Amino acid sequence: MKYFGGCDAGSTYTKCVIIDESGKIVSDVTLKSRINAVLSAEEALKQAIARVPGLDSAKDLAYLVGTGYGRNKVPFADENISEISCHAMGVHVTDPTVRAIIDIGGQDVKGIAIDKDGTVLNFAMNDKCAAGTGRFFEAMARAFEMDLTEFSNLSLKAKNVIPITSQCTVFAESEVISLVGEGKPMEEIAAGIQYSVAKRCFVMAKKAGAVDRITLTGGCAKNAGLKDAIEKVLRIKVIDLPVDPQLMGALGAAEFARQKGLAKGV
Amino acid sequence: MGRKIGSEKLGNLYSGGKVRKRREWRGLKDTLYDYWRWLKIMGMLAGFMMKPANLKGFLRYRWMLNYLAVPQMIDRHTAGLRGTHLRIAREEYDLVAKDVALLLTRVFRADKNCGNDKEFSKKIVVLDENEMFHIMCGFPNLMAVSWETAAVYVSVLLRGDGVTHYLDVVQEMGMPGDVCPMPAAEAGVCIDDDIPIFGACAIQCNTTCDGSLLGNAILAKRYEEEGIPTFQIAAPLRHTEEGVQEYAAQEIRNAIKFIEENTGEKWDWDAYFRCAKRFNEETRHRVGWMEMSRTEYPQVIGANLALYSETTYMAVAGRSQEFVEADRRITALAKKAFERKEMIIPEYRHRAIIWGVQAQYYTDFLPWLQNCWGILPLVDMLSLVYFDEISEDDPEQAIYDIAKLYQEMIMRNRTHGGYELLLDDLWRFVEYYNADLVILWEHISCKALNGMHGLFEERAREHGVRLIWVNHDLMDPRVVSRQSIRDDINRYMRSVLHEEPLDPSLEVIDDAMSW
Repeated sequence: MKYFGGCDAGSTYTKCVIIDESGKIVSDVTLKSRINAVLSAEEALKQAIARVPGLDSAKDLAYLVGTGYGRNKVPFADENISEISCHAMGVHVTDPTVRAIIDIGGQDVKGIAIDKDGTVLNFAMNDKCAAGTGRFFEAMARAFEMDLTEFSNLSLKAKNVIPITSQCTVFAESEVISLVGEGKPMEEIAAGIQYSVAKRCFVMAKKAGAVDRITLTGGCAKNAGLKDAIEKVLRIKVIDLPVDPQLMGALGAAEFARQKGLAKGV
Repeated sequence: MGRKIGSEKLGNLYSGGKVRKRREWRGLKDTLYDYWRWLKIMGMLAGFMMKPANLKGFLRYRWMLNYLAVPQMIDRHTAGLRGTHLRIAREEYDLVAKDVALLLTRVFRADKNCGNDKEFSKKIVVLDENEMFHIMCGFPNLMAVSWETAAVYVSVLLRGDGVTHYLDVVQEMGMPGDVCPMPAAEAGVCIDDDIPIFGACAIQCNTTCDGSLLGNAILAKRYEEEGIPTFQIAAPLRHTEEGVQEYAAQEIRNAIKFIEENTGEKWDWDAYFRCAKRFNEETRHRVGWMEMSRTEYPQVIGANLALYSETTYMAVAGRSQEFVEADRRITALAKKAFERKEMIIPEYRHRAIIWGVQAQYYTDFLPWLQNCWGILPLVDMLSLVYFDEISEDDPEQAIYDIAKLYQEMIMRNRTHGGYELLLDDLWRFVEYYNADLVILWEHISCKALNGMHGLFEERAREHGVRLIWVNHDLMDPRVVSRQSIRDDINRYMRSVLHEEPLDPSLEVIDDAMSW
């Protein structure tokens, strides 16, 4: 049996997926990224390989594709492909009916429009500031003195939404602290935060022309409150993926590796 | 024959020492030609430094350090060029360099901190960097000098981070960080007391934005403290409307009167019309080059066209015969290359219109587009200015012509006057130049353009044209780096168009080794 790997060296998490010749996921690993992308990628791959009987090292993989923020630092990759293409491919193999992706990673947010064969039609991204990214949620959760999971579910209980006027992470944190100090209901402030990010996602998606049959990827896709807010802002139902949405980049990379590896006859 | 275009991996020029490794081997003939021109530039710089006032200016003003990078700036903008196209580019850049050297010589001779030649200073009218110089065409005994061009505009062209110090200065004083960095830097030079003081009077123009108005106010205050009276031409914003033209013309009459009153010189129509004839010939040359860009064999394009057009159209304004002579030589070279079907790069993959306001700290982005991805930057928004010929004999019409030129000057003609000029014209030019790609500069501090983002996206989809957004911050590479600008293209080319670069060595380069 031949195996193919995808390694997504993200700014916050490093993900590794191994698939077999049929495209079935046989192993996946998600690790907190270290400052050194090489060490993170090596560790993630090592753990992913250890879970597959018959694989001992990266050399045993028929083909491996690196992607993500630190993709150029993945030392064992046969080639690198942009995370935009990989997210599109990962989503396509998971649910071919999806036509639009909002990918909210640790330090950027992207809207991606995809074609019926999984190719990217267009994209828009914000990688110049932390507004609307995983870092933003980390800062907000810190302000609430909660962990991310607790914070992400908090807004689901809100009866009202307190608008957060600032999208800048620094200013928003200050605004949130003031609102908490004023004794406003925590869940309503949280709902305001989720809405502010949802609106930013809406802008990105619209810029890319990604407005129909939409799904979420990246770590923030697991944020239930954000998903709920996005559905309300976009007025559409977000498609749930049957595979962990945080793995989409790595899965897409692995699928590219499979296609390229088989085409090259490796 | 020169060495084949595309034969050298240009990214390698960024991997070594700053100066030594940046010389490109273009084959014997072209390298010798380029080296000879390089020696001429070095000779000119040496001659410049021999003048005591210039040396004093070099030691007095922080921004003068940027001028050490003149040869490297030309190298960056001629990267990958061979044969005719190398010669066209050198004609353009070397003449612009000579013109800037003349500008600096005048600045330092008149400047009270350097040469302090008071009689000479009385013959100078200080103009904005972003302003048409036609108002000076009728004053043959006066000189139009813009210290802003020398201190800010050219400084950033030469060295990407050439004015970041002044941006810090202006922000320390309290100006917000999101104001356009161009007027902010100009105000910073003034606040930092790095402004040369000279001139009988100054003429400003309400340029493109609120930041510019704020900057002009700071400068005007400083000029007047130094006893330099200032007039601001308030050119109408909705310049396409007939109803504003009389007002615009009156502003020009007022400005002429102001110069006459403050210099004792009289407007000379004969001198003006001599300039108008030269200006019209220059316009014809420029239009001719742009017409070639409609065909399969463009010859004068990209950064070369943009920088040279800005100089000839706005700052020279027909006042120099030398530029007309250069235009004739460029046209002759371009025609010959066109007949021979010469190509600028080995392979043309895309024909692009460059829209929006360019990153001043990365004007060699356009040669990079050519060399890295085979994208031909046919023409840019700033070069698509006023193409009508101006009157060569009718004084009344001439006033209206000058007013029109002021209203339609570079960076103003499309950011004001109605959204059609910015939005609708783009698709007209896409069709006219048979382009398949639009590179849209998004200057993140420019509120005028940012408000149009969604409309551009919508129209691009309607027209079925590929549109790539490129973020930048005009004069501050600390906000958006040059690699980030390249990455905007790299991502799109790989993710959407699924293309591989012509020269992969250029995809990620180390700007720390570059000026």
